[in-house]
This record gives sequence, C-alpha cells and structure tokens, in this order.
Amino acid sequence: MADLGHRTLAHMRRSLDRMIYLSSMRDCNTGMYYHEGLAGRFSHEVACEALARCHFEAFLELSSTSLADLVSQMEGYAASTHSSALEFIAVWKRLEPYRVAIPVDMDPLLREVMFSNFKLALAIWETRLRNRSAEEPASLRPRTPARRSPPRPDMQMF
Amino acid sequence: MLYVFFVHPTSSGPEGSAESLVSAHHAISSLQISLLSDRVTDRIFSDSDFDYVSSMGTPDILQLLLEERRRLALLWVGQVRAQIGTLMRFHRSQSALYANLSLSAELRLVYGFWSLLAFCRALEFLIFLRGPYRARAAVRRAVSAAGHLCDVTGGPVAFLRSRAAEMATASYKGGGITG
Repeated sequence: MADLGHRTLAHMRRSLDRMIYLSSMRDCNTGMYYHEGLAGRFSHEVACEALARCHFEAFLELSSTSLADLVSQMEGYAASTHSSALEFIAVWKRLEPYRVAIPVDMDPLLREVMFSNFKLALAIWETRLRNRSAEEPASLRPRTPARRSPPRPDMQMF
Repeated sequence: MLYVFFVHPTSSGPEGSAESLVSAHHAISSLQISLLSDRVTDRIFSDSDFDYVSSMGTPDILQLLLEERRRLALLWVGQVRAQIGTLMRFHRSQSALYANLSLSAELRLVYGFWSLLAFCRALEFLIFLRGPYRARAAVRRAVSAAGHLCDVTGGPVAFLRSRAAEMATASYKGGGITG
C-alpha cells in the first residue's frame, strides 16, 4: 500500500482523482482490483487488497470535503480531462458516473451523502458557469468548441 | 411494564439468538462507526455548506441544498431510530441471559431507549417541518443520547464486540448457523 501511495497516488493531489483512478482499476463484474505492476512485484491478492484500501481511503477523504472543495476538485478533474466544462457537467448529470466510482462495501448513508454532494456540486458549478457566461459581453465568448486532446489513459473510464 | 419489557421476551431458539446477536452487533457498529460519527453528521448538517450556497445568492441552488439535506437528515434520523430499535429488541429478548443488571439500571435503560425513540420521532417531525439546519441543536442532543445509550449497553453486552461475535457474524452471513 505504501508502494502504491508513493509511486502512483502521490501524483494525484485531489481525492476525487484518486477515487476515480482506483475505481478504474476495479473489475465491475467481480469487484476485484487489478494492477499488473503491483501484482508483478507482490501478488494479485496483495495488490487487490492495497488498491481496495486506497480506494476506501480516497472515498472517505472525499466524503469529508465541503461542497466548495468538491466543486473545486471537479473543476480541476474536468480540466485534467481536457473536456469542456459545460459538456462535462451535462454528461455527469445524465450518466452519474460517480455512482460506479465508489468502493463496494460503503455505508449506505455515507454513499447517499456522497451522491447528494455530487449532484449539488454539479448544480453549483453549472450555475456559476452560466452566471459568468451571462455577465460576459457576447464578443468575448468563444465561438468554437473547446479544443480537445485524448483523455489521459488513467481517466478513460469517464 | 418491566414484565412486558424483560420477563416476557420474544426470544426463540438458538437460531433466533444468533440472528439477534448479529443484528445487535450490526446496530452498535453502524451507530458508532457511521451514524453518530462526525463525518456523517457534519456533512449533513454542515454550516459551511449552507453558508457557501447562501453566499452564491441563487435561490434555486439553495432550495436544492435544503431539499437534499432534508432528505438525508430524515434518512439519517430514520436509521438511528431503526438501530436503536434493534438494540432495544435485542436487549429485551436476550440480555437477561448475559448481563446482571440491577433494577435501577434496567429502568434507566428502558427509559433511555423509549425516550430516545420518541425523541427521534419528534426530530423527524421537526426536520420535516423546519428543515435540517434549524434542528441542529436537537440533532446534537440525539447524537449525545444515542452515544450514551451505546456506551451503557456496550457494558452489559460488551461481548458483542468480541471475537466470538465477529465469528458469529461471519458464520451467520455464510449460512453456517443452521439452528
């Protein structure tokens, strides 16, 4: 777990990034986590346990953050995927990908709190963007969609 | 009253005892680890989230926050009430077999259970009517009372948190207890 923390997760400052990254390591059919590098150094069982533990901790950390911080983390995460903010919000509101990004055996109430916070954070962020856009003179608004580059490999889940 | 509460237990055979033990163990864990934890109550009833959204000056978002928090607060108080009810049923059916409680301690426990259950009902009503942020003082009181009840029942039923109870839980979940 320390190995995983020092080598991979240390580069992800935001707990949202860590939670999404770790959920992408999980097979949704079995609930097992896979990481070839870690499994090669240790074993599949040890790697799975370490990833599950880190996923759980990332979720707990995220569940304690305030709404303001969650909005800020989502802005940062969306920027790292190079998608347009409004498009990102629209897709997250429709698909609710955060529902499959949480650890399996979470307390139902804490899970509900987290889902509710995501829903609120998306609404807050969208309102702020729309208000900002309404305040801007039309001539300053971009006329073309945001330029896109391929998503980072570790963020391809969403 | 005491006869109904303690002397006329609803206990069944060994299977019922194991099930009751597992339920009580789960209730105490759920209360102590999740429901009464600052992590959960702080988020649901957080001043900072309310202040943050209020400062935005957007009535729609504030309304959404109040609706979401009211829903979560009602879910929370409902779960606290359910777990306290489970503990009370366990105590009524099983504790006489394990714990040597004095009459005054039993009376205090009965009063503690019933008053907290009634308080939770009142709290649900208060949250429903006035929203979660105007019920914070009552929430703190409920958390304190439930925590105290967990501590009190934790003494006589301390074995619930023992290795044996963990094994019973695992065995029960795995279908190992056949009765």
